This record gives sequence, C-alpha cells and structure tokens, in this order.
Amino acid sequence: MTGETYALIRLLQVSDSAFPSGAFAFSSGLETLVNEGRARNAADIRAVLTGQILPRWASFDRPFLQAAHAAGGDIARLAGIDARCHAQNSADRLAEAARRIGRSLLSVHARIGTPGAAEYRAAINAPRLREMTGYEPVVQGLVGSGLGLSVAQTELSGLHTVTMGFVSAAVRLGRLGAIEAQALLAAASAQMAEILETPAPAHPGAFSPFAEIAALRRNTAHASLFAT
Amino acid sequence: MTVMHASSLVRSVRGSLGFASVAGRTHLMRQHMPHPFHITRPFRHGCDPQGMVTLYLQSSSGGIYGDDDLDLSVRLEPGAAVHLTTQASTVVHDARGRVGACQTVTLDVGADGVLEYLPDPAIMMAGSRLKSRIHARLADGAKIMLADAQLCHDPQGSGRPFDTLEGEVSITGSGRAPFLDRFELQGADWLTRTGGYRCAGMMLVAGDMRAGPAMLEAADALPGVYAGLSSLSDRDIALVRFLAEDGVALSRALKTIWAAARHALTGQTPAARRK
Repeated sequence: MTGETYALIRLLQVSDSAFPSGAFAFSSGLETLVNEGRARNAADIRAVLTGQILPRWASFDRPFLQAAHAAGGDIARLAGIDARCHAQNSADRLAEAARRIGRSLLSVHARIGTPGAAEYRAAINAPRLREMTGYEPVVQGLVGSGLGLSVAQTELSGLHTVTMGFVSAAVRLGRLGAIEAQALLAAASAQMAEILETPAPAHPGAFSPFAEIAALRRNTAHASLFAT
Repeated sequence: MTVMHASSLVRSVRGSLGFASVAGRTHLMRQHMPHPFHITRPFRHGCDPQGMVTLYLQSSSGGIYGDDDLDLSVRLEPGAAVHLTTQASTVVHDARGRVGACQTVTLDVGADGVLEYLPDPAIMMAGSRLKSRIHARLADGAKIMLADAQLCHDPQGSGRPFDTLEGEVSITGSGRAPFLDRFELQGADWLTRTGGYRCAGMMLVAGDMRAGPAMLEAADALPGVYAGLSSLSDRDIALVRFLAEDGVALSRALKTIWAAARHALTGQTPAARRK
C-alpha cells in the first residue's frame, strides 16, 4: 500500500458524515433564515450556500486551516493561529459553533490516536482557554497534518464538511428533498473546485453578513434544531 | 481577492487631533489638519456625558479619490470625552484605473476616556477602490463607540459596481484580547453577500457591553433593516451588524442604534446632530 492510498483512505474516513465531528449540529444561520421566511426553497438554499457559506469558508476558514497544517503539530504555533482565529471571529454564535466543532473533532482524534491531537487537546484544556481556542479550521489543519494528508487533501475535507453540514441542515429543515440535495451538491461542485484551485487570501477575512446576521439572530428562547 | 495598493500613492496626507479634559470639560488641545482634512469648531450638547465635546470631520476635496492615502490620528488624554462624526457621507470616487484609495484612522483613548467615533457611511461609487482601516487602542477604563458603514451607489444605473473594498477594524488594549474584523470584497459580489441589501454596517461598543440588547432592539424596530447582535464578553464588546435596503434606512439605523446605546449607557437620550 502506498502512502498516497493510505492518506486517501484516511481522508474518506474523516470526511464521512458518519465520522463524529459534531459539524452536523449547526446550520450556519440557515435555520433562522428558514424560520424568518428568507429561505423558502431550493433556489434560496443554493443562494445561501454559494453566496455566503462557500465564500466565507474560502476567505476565512481556509487560511487558518492552511496555517495550522503548515504548523506540523507545533503546539506554540497552533496556539498562535487559534488566537488569531479567535480575534477575527466577530460573530459570537459562529465562533462558539466553530469551537464546539473543533474541540469535538480534536477529542475524537485524540481518542483514535491521530498524531498531535492528544498533545494539542492537553495544551488548550485550561478553563481560561476554553472560550478562545480549539477552532474548527485550526483543528482540521492539525489533524490533516497528523494523518499525513496533504494540505490540498485537508482543504478538500474541510470544504466538504462545511458543505455537507449545510446541505444536511437544509434537508432536515424540510427545505430540500434528498434528490434536490444531490442536485445542489452537483451544482456547487464547480464553485468548490474553483475555490480549491485558487490561492487562498494572504490574510483571513469574511464578508457574509446575510448568513452571519441570521446566525446571530437565532432565538434562544425557542426550541431549535440547530445550535446556529 | 486583492486590493491593489501600493507603491505610487501620490496624495499622502497625515492629520491629527488631540483632546484633553481640563477641569471636567474636554477641549481640542491640538490639531494638524492639512488639506483635504477639515474640521468645524467644537460643539457641546446638553444631554451629553459630562464634559463631552462634539467635533465634525469634513473633507475640503469632495470625497476620496483613487490615489488618496489619508491617515488621521486621534488621541484622547485620560478622562476626555469626545463625539467625533462627519458632516455627511464620504463619497469614494471612481478610481479610474488608479491603485485605489487608502484611509487609516487611529484612535487612542486614554484611561477612563470616552470616544464616540461615528462617521457617516462611505458611498462606494462605480469603479471605486478603497482600503479602510480603523485601529482603536483603549487604555484601562476607556470606552469607545464605533461605526463603520458602506453603501453601493451606481448613479447612472449602469450595473457597474465599485471595484474593491477592503475593511479592517481592530481594537486592542493593555490586558485585553485583541479584536479584528476584516474583509476583502469585489464590488460584483456585494449584492450576493448581502442577500440583496445595498447597504451594510456595524456599530460596536467596547469597554461596556450593557448597551448591546438596546442597540439590537432599536435596529430591529426599523423597517428595511436586518440586524444581529454579537456579544464578545472576553473583550467587553457588544457589536450590532446590520444590512439596510437603502441609504435612508442606513442613516436611520446609524442614528437610532447610537441613540439607543447612549441611552443604555448614560440614561440620557442624546440630541440629534445637525447635518
């Protein structure tokens, strides 16, 4: 077995919806948009995915993921990247979601022995760090490096995870049927490929205010399916 | 997405303002305002916090042009209280192939100082390029209320948007975790990213989070405005981000959220600023 084949097998494992990453508990603001009547049908869902979710991942999450992958398990560097990610997460609900997913992912990888995961989990376990470290793209970069995935494979996994999480939320919210979901994924594939084939911005940043505001507006007083 | 700035910025201008509190009243103690910077005389309003002075920033050049590199530094000595605003929106003109304008505002607020930095929105004209940076540094006990807003304007209805917009707002201070809100955007993507709204903005209060719920409630009550509140407790920041259908709704949002925040923090409704 070649190293490349091994890496692909691990890539499929950690990108599968059965992998307990925790990402499927979040809708990235879609639940609010549905409840407010701003996302009613498959066209609206597609507009949110292609106009908000994918661009945000490309310009914000991706540079942090790349930096964390390049850190190669260096705890101090990873902590610095996490701190910058925290500083730039100006939407509290999205920040909380990214930390919960990241920490869940880190915990699973620590338990299955992914190199570097247990060490970083121990490093950010102090109570004072809980609300400011463990962001999803940072952990994705760390575990991608630990599993021997290339940065391109790690990015592919990260983009796949956010896309599948969003589309899954749309199905569970009753705004997409199973076939419509697959059609949406097919339609979004070209944009996803273009994102991955374009260099990431030198500095992370995000401008997806429509979905971000929706995530901020999640009504905690009412029962919700999703945490964002 | 890359905003091209660089090497040949032909109109670099550095301005500065300094305020200090003397016997409980804040005064403009020093100013260096070369063209195109311009200011009015200081004003005082009865409903403002103790000693607060209001100053209007103006431009004597009619806006920001494609090769401007404008830098404004504002310093408040300990205990000073300032409301700093503009007379009107700032027009960012078509870059006409030039590198793009750069506007940097640095705000240093001394211990227990209060600064309201509430400029009117930037109007991004077709073809314009702008890199906007606002950097605030807060000393112990200092508070800042800060707004940053933009609207797209295509007066000829040609369907030609602005070219690029890069925005950066940072807040730092001793003993506090940093805050950095930044983005880079092509004008062609504006309406997609805003869900069809022509205007976007945010207003934050750092150093006192009590105003957050009132700011959101005020924004939510306005027609044509879509808003959400982010509470960043570890940095003592309450931030309301909002979208507005048009310039009227945007202007109303900025005034209303400010008034709500001021009332929540001081118990007084501020007098509207004449513009």
